[in-house]
Amino acid sequence: MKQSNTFLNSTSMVSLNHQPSRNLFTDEVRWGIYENEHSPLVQGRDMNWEWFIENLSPERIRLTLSQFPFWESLNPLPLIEIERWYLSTDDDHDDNQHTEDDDKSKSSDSATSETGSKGNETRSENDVQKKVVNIIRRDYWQGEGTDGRYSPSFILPMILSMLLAFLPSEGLQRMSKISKMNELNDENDEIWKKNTETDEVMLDNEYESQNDQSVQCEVYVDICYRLCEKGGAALVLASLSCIDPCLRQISVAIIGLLLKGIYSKEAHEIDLWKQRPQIQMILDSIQRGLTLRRDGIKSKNKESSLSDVSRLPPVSAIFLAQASLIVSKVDHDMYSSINGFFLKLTENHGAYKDTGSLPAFISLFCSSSDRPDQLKKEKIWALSLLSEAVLDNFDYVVASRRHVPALLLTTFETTARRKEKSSSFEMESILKAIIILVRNGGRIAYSHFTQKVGLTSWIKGFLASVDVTKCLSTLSLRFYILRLVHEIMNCGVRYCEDTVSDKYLIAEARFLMRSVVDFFIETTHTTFYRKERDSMRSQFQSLFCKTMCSMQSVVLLSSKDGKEGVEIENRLASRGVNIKSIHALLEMPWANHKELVRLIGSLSSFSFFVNKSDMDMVALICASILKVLLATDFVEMSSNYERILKMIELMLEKDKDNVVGNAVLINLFLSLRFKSTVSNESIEIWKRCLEMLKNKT
Amino acid sequence: MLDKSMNKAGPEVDAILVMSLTSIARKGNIESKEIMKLRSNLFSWLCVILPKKLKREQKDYQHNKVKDDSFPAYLVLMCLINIINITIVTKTSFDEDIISGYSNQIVKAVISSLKIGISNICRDEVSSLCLRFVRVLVTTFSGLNSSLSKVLNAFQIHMMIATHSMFKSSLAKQESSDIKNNVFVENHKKSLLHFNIMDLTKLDLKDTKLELVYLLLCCVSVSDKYIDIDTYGMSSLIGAYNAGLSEFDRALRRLFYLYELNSTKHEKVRFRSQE
Repeated sequence: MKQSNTFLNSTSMVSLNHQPSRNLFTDEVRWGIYENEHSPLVQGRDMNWEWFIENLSPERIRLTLSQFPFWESLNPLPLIEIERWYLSTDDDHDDNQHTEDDDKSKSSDSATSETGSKGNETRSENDVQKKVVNIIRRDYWQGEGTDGRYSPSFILPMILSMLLAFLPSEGLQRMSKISKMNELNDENDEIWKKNTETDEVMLDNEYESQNDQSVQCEVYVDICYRLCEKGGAALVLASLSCIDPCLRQISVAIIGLLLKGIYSKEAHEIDLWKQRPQIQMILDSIQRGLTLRRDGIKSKNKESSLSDVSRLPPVSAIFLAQASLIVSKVDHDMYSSINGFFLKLTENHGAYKDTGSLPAFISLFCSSSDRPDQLKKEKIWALSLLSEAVLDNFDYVVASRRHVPALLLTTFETTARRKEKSSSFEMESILKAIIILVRNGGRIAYSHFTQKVGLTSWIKGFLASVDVTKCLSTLSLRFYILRLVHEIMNCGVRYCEDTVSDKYLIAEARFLMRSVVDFFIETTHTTFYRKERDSMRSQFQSLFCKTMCSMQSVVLLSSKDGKEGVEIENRLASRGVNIKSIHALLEMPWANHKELVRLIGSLSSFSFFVNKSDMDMVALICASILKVLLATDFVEMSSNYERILKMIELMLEKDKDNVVGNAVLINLFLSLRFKSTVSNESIEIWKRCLEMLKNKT
Repeated sequence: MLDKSMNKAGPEVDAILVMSLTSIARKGNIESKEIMKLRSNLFSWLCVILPKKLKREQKDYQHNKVKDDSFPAYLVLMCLINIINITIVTKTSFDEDIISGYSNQIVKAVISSLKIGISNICRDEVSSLCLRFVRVLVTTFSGLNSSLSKVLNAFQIHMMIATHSMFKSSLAKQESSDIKNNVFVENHKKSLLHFNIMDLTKLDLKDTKLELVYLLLCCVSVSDKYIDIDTYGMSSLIGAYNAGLSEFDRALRRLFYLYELNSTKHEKVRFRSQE
C-alpha cells in the first residue's frame, strides 16, 4: 500500500481557510457543485464526510459500470500531448497484451510507477505507459449524453479514507467477535459459541460504560449502510478488475471494512437494511474467492507477496458489481436468478469460484427456467453482461474457454432461422455481444475469430444460406451485420502481421465482398428500408461505405509484398462482385458524394465478373464512374485513381466490340486527360482505354 | 518588406503573410538561414501586432460589434501557433538575434494573451487560442537555450494565472457549445485555408478552462523551479473538479498529482492523511 498512500494523500485536500501553513486532511476534499455546500470548519468534524456520502450519485455509479474504466491508475498517467517530456512519444498501435499467467499486473505495475520525474526515468517509463494510454484513447464515451462516469481512482481512496475515519477503534474487536460468532452459528460449533458468548457478556458490560463508543459503532454502520445503498459497494467490486494493483488493494481493504460493519450487531438492528444478508453474501463470497485464488498463486509462485491482489477479468468483477445492485432490489427481474447463483456456491463456505473465469453466463444464457418470459430475460441479461463487461483480451480468453463465441453464432443462426419477428431484439443483443467480443478482445480475439471460429466464413455462409429478407427483418439488425463485418476487418488492419490468419482474412475479404454488396442491395429493396427516415438510410449507406473501405484496406495489405499486381490481372473472376450489382450501386441515390467516391475506390480493389447477358451494362457503368471521377476533386480519390482506371480498362476489354466508337465514353475520357497525367501509370492506362475506344472509328 | 509594412494593413501585408506562411510550411524541414530568418521575423511581427489586435477584439466584444478586419486576432494567434508547431514538427529553431531583439514585445504578447485567456472579456475561441499560444510558446522555448527562455518564465506564468482574481470564475465557466460543436472552424474555414493555416483536421480547439489547466500542467512540467499553489488556487481547482473521466477532470487530477509530487520533492507536505 506504499504507492497508494502517496496519492491517497494527494486526493485529500483543500481548506477553505486561507492559511498557507495549515495542514490539510483527507476528509476536507469536496468537488464541483458541492464545493460550497458543506464547510468542515463550520459544521464540525462529524459532518466532514457528509457531503461525500450525500452526493455520491447512484446514477453516475451505474454509468461507470456500463463502461468501466479498468485502465485507471491511482497515480494519474501523464498527458503525453501536454507535458513537455512526452512530446516526442511515438504512437503505438498495439493493445495491452497481458495474459492470465502473468496475473495481468505486470504492465500496470510499471505503468503506475512514479510518473512525474523528468529525464531518463520518464523516457523508460514511456514505453510501458504507451499501452495504457492507447486503451484510454479508445475509451471514449459510447453512451448517450456526456460522460458522467466516476473516476474510480479518485472515489475509491475517498471511500477508504471515509471508512477509516469512522472506524471505531475500540469497537473493532467486538464487531469482529460477533462476526465470528455469526459464522460459526451456521456450523453449529457450540463450544466456540459458548466462549464467545462469555466474551460477549464481558464486552457488553464494557460497552454500556462507554456510550460514545456505541455511537461510533452506530455511525460507522450507518455509513456502511448508506454506502451500499448508493451503490458504492458495486463500484468497489468492479474495481477488482483494474489494471493498477494499488486500486485492487484498496478495493479489498474497503470490502474488508464493509464486512466489519455488515457483520456487526448494529447492522442487524437497522430495520431498513433488509438486503444486508444478500450484500454480506456477495462480499463474503468474493473475499473468500480472492483468498483461495491468492493461495493458489502462492503455491505456484512462492515469491508472490501476501498483499498482492489478483486481477479479476472485468466481466467477472462487473458481474459481481451488477449482482450487488440487483440483490438490493427484491422486485428486480433477475433477483431470484442472481440470489440463486450465490446460494448455490457451497464449496469453501460459498467462495466465489469465478475469480478467473466467466461467471453465470452459461446458466443464464441456456436458462432452464420454467417461465418463457423469465427465460428470455435471463438470456438478454447474460448478453447485456457480455456487451457491457467484456473490456479486454483477458475477458475474451475467459469467454472463449466457455466456448461463448461459437455458442453465440450457433444461437444466432438458430434464432434467425425461426423467422420470428419477436426474436429480433434477442438477435440484436447476440450480434452486439459478438461485436464487443471482436472489438475489445484484442489480437487474441481476432486470431481466434478468424482462424478457429471462422467468423468471416460464417457470415458469408449465413447470408448465402438463409432467406435474408425474412430472417433479418429490421434495419437495426442489418446495421449490426454490417458493423460486425466492419469490426472484424478493422481488427485485421490493426493487428496485421504476416501470419496465417492475416492471409486467411485477406482471402476471405475478397469473397465476402460479394455477399456484403448483395446484402446491401437487397436491403435497399425491402419495404422497411424504404419506410425508414432519410437520416437512417443515409447512416446505413455510410456504414456500408465504411465497411467496404475497411475490406479494401484488408485486401490492400497483400499489396505490401507486391502481390497486388498479380491480383489485378485476376480481377475478372467468377467469385467476384456481379457487374449487375455494381450497376445497381451506381444507379442508387447517394446522400453523400464523397461516400460514392470511396465506394467506387473500394470496388476497384476487388474482383468482379460479367455475364454475357449483362454486357450492355459495361458502357453504362464506365460512363457513370467516369462522370463521378470528373466531378470529384483529385485529392479525394488520389489513392484509388489508378485502380479505378484499371478497373474501367478491364471492363472495356471485356466488352471491346460494343464499346468501340462510344462517343460518350470518348468525350468523358478526353475530359479526364488532365487528371490522368498525375502519374505515368495512369496516363498509360488512359491512353490504352482511349485507344480501345477509337480503334475502328 | 515585413518590417516596412509592419504598421500597415491591407492586401500588401495579406499577400506577404500568405507567401511567407506557405514557404515556411513547405520548406520547414529545409534548415536554411533564410527560412529561419523569415520564420523569426514573421513570428516577431505577429507578436508585435497581437496586443493591438486583442485590444480591438476585446472592444468589439464588449460593444457587441463585428468590425470588418481582414486579419483579426484569432488569425494572428493561429498563425503564431502554426509557426511554433512547424518548428516543433521539423525540429528547427528561431534566429536567436532576431528573437532577442523582440523579447520585450514577445513578453507583452504573452501577457496580453494571458489576460484575455483568463478574463471573460473576449469570445471563447479567442480566449482558448490565447492560452494555447502561451502553452506552445512555453513548451518550445523552455527546452531551448534561448534568451527568450529566460524571459518566458514558467514559474511566473503559473503564478500569474493561479493568483489572478478571475481564476476561479474562469474555471467555473460553462463549456462553450461553439467550440464543442466545432462551429468556429466551420465558420472560418475560408480564412484558415486562405492563410494556409494548418491542416483543418488537426485544429482541435479546446474549451478555455481545459486550455487553462493544460497551461498550468505545462508550466509545472517544464519548470525547473519548485512550483506551488496556494489554498485559494487549490480550492478553485478542486471546485471545478467533477470526479469524472472527462478530459478536463483527467487533466486536473494529473495537475493535483504533479503539485503533490513537487511538494514532496521539496519536502513540503501539502496533503496528509489523518493520524
